Amino acid sequence: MRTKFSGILTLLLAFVVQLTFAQEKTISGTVADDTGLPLPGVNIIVKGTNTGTQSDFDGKYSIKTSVGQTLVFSFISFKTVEMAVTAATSSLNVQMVTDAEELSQVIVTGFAVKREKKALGYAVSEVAAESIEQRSEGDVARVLSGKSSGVVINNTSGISGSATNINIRGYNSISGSNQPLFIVDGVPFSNDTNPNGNFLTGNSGSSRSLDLDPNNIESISVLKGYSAATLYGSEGKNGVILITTKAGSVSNTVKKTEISVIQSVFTNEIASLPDYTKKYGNGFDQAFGNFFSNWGPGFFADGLGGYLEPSSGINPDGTFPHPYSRAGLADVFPEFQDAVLPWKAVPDHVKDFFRDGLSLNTSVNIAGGSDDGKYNYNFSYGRLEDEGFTPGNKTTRNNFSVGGRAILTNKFTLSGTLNYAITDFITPPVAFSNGSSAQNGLSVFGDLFYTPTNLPLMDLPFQNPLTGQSVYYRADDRIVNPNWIVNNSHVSQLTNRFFGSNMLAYEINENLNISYRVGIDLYSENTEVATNRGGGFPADIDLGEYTTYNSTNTIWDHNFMLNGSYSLTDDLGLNFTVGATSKSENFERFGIRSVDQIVFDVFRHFNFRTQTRLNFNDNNIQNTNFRNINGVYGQADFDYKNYLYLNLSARNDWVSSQIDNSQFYPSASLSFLPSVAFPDIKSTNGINYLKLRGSYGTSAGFASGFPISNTLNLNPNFFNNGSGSFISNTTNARLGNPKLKPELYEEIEIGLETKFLDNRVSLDFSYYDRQTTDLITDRDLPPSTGFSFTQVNIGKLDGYGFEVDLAINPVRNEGTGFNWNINTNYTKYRTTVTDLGLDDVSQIVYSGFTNLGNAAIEGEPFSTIVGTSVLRDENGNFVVDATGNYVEAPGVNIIGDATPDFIVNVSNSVSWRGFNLSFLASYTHGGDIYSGTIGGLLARGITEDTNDRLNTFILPGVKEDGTPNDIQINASGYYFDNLGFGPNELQVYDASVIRLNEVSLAYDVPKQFLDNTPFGSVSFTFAGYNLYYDAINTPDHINFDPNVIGVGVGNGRGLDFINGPSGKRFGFTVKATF
Amino acid sequence: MKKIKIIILACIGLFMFNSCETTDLNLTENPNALVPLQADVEFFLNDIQISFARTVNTFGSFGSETTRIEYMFGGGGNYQTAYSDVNFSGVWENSYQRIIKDIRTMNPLAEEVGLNKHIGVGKVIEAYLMMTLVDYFGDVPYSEAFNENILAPKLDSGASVYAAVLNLLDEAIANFAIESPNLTNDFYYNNDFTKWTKLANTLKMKVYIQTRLVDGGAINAFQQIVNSGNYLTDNADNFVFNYGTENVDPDSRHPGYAAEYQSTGATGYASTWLMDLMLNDKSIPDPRIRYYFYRQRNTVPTNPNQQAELIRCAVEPIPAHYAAIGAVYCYPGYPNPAAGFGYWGRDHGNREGIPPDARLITALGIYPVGGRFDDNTFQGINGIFRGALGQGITPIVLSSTVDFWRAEASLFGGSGNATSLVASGIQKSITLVRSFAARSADPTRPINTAFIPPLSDDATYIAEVTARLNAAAGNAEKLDVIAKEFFISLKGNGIDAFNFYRRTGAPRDIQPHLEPNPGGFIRSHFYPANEANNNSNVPQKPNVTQRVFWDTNPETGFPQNN
Repeated sequence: MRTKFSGILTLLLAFVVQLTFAQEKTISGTVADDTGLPLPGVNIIVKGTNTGTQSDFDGKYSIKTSVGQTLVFSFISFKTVEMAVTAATSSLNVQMVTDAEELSQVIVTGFAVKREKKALGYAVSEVAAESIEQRSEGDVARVLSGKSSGVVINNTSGISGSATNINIRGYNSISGSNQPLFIVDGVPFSNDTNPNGNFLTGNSGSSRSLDLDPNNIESISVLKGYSAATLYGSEGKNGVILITTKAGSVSNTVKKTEISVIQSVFTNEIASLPDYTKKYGNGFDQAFGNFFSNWGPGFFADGLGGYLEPSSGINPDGTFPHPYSRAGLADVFPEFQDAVLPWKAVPDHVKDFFRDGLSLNTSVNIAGGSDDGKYNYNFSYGRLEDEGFTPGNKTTRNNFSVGGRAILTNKFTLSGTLNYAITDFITPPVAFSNGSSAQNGLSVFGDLFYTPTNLPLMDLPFQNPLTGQSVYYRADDRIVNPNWIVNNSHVSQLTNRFFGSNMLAYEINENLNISYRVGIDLYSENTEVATNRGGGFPADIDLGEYTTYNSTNTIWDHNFMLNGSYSLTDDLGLNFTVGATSKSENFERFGIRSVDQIVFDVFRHFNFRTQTRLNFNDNNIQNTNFRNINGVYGQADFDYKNYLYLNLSARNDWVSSQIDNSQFYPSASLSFLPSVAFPDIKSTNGINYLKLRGSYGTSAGFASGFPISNTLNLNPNFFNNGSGSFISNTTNARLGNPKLKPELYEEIEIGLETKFLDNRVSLDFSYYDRQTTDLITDRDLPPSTGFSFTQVNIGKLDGYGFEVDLAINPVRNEGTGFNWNINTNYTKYRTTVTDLGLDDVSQIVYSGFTNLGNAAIEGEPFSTIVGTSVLRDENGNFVVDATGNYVEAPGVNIIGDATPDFIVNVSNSVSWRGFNLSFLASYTHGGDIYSGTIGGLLARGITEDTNDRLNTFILPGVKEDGTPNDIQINASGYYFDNLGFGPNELQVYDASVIRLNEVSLAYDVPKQFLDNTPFGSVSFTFAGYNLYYDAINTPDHINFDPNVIGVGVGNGRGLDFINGPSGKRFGFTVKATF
Repeated sequence: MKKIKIIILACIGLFMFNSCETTDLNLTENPNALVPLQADVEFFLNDIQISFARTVNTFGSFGSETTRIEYMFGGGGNYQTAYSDVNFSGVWENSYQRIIKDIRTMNPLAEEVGLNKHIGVGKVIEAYLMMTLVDYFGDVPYSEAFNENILAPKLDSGASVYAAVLNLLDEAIANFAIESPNLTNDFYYNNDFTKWTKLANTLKMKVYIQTRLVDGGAINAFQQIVNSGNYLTDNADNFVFNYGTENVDPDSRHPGYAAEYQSTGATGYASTWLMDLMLNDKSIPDPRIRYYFYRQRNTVPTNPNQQAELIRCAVEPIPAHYAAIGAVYCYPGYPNPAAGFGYWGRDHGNREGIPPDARLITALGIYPVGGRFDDNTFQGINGIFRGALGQGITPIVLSSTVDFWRAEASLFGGSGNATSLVASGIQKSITLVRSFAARSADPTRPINTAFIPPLSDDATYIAEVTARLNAAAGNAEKLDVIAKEFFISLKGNGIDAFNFYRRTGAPRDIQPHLEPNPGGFIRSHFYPANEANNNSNVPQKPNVTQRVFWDTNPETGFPQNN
């Protein structure tokens, strides 16, 4: 009975269930992307219910459902797939297709708010991890070069670990910073550069973006315009580089634990060696002498200019006196006395000075989470050892990073990141030089590149074994031997850096959540500048110097944010954010400088006779700088029927460094998608997607430092006449300006994004027009006022630019078939000084020297180069004097414009069956550079450019009486007195350059080969960087690389002061995941 | 739920508490410097006195270069481009922004506590600087200067600035007479205010002698001070600044020594004209020559190859415009290297590059920079501790200078006899210079006193000059003789030489510019770049032949031999 009953009951129940719930069953399967790879994290819900799940790491899922219901598979940037469950269904394998049409790509915008790209009314560039990781350059900023339109990256030198200048959309402030704001995982990240001196005395120091491990970066968004960056306030006015690290990108998805390992090995060698003449050696006007110049006799015996000419100074047997055969070195190097060297070109005499550096980069990343996806973590470790091609130069970096996220209860989410970086940078000193030694500080490159061709640089002893002093070929030791510098002098920076953030979010209800995030970024940079005694020149470090100081920079950042999301009507949605933030920066530097070394080669302060607290051009080595910025902000995003998006945002900032310290600035942007609003215009082989956008943005800039109050200098040790030392007071040269106002920025941007020809072509175009008014500018005052400079609000800058990103996919095949992608970006920007606002002053030199630098001049482009020029007659002809040399025009004149006309980057990527061949080439058109390297090398007659030297030259121009110049001068007169060391104008060259930035061949080992291994994926990449470049309008044999900023990171541009060569790298990388 | 709210509130509270520091908006005070209220009068006056000496030293170098006391690098091959406007930015800024600004800031603080002597010293220094600014640049800002509400001060005429200078000097004399505390550190006269008063009177004499061409009463006013006897009459009255020997922190050495005495050898060339004048003009070398010049070797190169490498002019023919007037060329005794005795410098306006000769060329000696006395050791300079270790002087106003002024004045209506005044001036100068042998402080290289010229040389020398003056016909010839002796005495500060040269045009047989057509001589310098570029009321002058107000000499062709 019992059995019977339960049998009937079961039957009945089955019937009922069949009737009411249909047939409940468990469906399982795999979700894959369009290339067939498993797609984790796909949301799978039963349509019309609350039941849902996510695909796991292998793309597998299983879900309970019933026959007749529909499963909805959705994933960002893929087309949503709906599958009906029928009685026959037991498993559903889904291949999802990329939703290029609607471009529902998600972009990280201000304050980590994720928005669909189609909703944005302004331009944002995104750079994905693949184009950042596995590089050999340590600095993420350099890796960004060429990756995004509107972003221009310049190196300060080829020294590994040297600073990087970043500029987004041109220069918009004369004296304020034009460097973008770095935001790492939502919090401000300092990208300071603290060189060991100024551009004259020493320019060695890394940009602190070096502390980020590119291998640990998940993605980078670049916010270019003001409306994009409004929420970041005044700090975001130069654009924002939003970096999401792998630790910071942890999200609550179900993820299988994954370990990935990247190992790279690269070589690093000099790319910009000149082609040295093999015909002539040291001397002047075909007469030998131990000079800087290489205008000496020929290496050939007979004929004009040959060494058998009686005036050559070369022995008839083709030898010349050993440079160390001199009275002063008789005791030190008896072996060289009366010795001779062969009069011939020494092959590779400069090349051998450099080395092949080795760059090793290791990165380990472990990510995973709990089975329910509520707890997720990411650990990573990275190590970089980057040896420069310059001896004595190396960058070593260790990165540790932890990130995690936890859903504590249903309402609380806690996430955080901790990063620790130790960066050790060491280099021989590099300082300003211009073709006649570094005059203001030691520089390893100062005289290196025009080492006379007959000189066996690497075979000559560089050090006096008795005294340790530098010895070199010039009898008066006026040239410091570059090998001595490498072995006896260094600048190093050891940086310990901690940065991270904690965020607590609370979900008030379905529509509202509130969050609080605190971020800290702290670096402690120990800088050491050390030179043994005996360098000789410059005199003030001849006794040896040792300077150590610590710079600590702390940024505290607090941010309260309320986010809301409402559907106002069926068609109208609203997302909003309101918040308050405070950012506090505190920079502290202190240290000591010692001079007069006692025991050679010992760098401890006790080993020096004199200590001082002054360095930095007689300023105190102790320096404190702090500034607080508080802001409140709000943003509202309206979306209407998925084709019209309106964004309104505004912020008010208060700053601590000014009295007039508050500024409000609003922005608005609109995005309209005709391809959604009017579906008729779409067709597969016509337009697939079309978006128009426009925005208006504003921002403000505040003064940094303490510009509003007058100060008084005190020097505790101003003078010592033997009867004691005397204290001095003197009034400061700066006039404080308590009336300083914020500077104001405005921008209008329009853009168009489209895809057509079956999504084979996509185009993103932006045009912007911006202006800065009330610029906070350092202006020089006439000293007769009793002051030399002040900060004032003056003038107006107008800028505009175009940015075009064009992607073409000429060959497209599904899966692992043949694919070819071409991505091109184009950047053009101009900034013009439309009003200087000063009656008294026609130009403000803001970088370099007052008589050779960058100046803001009314009506002229920003980045105009000023310097001495050649006198012109009324017809514009160059004027030569009675000796046939150019006459220098009075004063300081415009000699160039450093802003390039445009920059194009083209990357090509061809993939087939796991192979991927790609390259990135770039071309910069126009833009001038004053090149001390070119000027110096031409003046010194060292390259093949000056091989034609036995004839006479007539400079183009007219004589002072107006008749055409017919005065002949010799080669040294032509190159040394005019082209090389004549008026600065003659050393200005067009800096157009074509460059092969990157070439790589990668191979992904197919999945099936890995099935029985622990590996999830394995890839090999061979890559080369900067393999070829040509500055087409510079002398052929100098091989000058114009990608250099001689005045360091800042607003200067187009100035090269022999700051160092550029390098090329090649090597390979293995990446494996477990 | 309540619990959660409490937690949130606690978090917010904690945040507010912690972030007070980060939200403080009143952080405008610069922690890296003092505020003006913390100034100290004595500290100000230390800086004023020392910066003044260094500034005068730089002014003096420019003056010496144009008058061939030192070598002038002739950039651009003409006078117009020999100095660019940026060359003067330093002295201009030091004068206006530093020294006089400090004086003006110090004065109210000093007045408050009755420090009249401090104020007097400041006035003398301001007077000297303003006078020098007029002498170098012509009209300069003054009446509207030093006022933070006027950012483009207008130019005042040179004459009006000179008038103000006389006022300042009178006020200073009055200040010195008031009973008030001494200076804590008087670097010039050790609080001897009779000497400060003499100095102020002497500076008035300088004003009068300089304005004698434009002011008929000037010689008379000059004479009145002479008659009073209250001026610098003796070497003990000399207005000079004494440097120290400290080489770092603070580098207190004579700036000329610091530049010249380096381990890599000497940096500057001596003036061939001055060396030749002192070596060959009289029957014996000038008794001061071994003090002024230190020869690093005793010959100029004789081998043509070496000459070509090191002293190019030696293998080149003498320029026609030099040969025509018998001017010295290349080295004393050219073309016979043996006659050069190692005196190796450069000609006026030479603009060649620099060969490796830093341990070979003639270097600055013990006077006035505190280097080595030339006692025939002929050692290349290869270290920074040599001779008097840099314990030199910047001569600002010497008693010998007053004698030369008086000699000049005597030719134009002043009292006294030019010949005996010149003799007195030379003797004072030689005596001062001789005193420097005692400054030699490098124990490893004591002076070989055998090479100190016997005192009898002074008399021989002076007798020859006296004879020439007596033989000279007319003021022009007399001035030629006076000028040479005056210029020799001005080694170390050529301000007065530059003024004298423009005022008198003497000496007419000075070595010309190496370029045959260097354009007109510098009658005033370009306005410094930092002023002209930033002050619409100071337009740059078109050329360097603009004369200052007291210069009424011919616009062109003056002085001769340029």
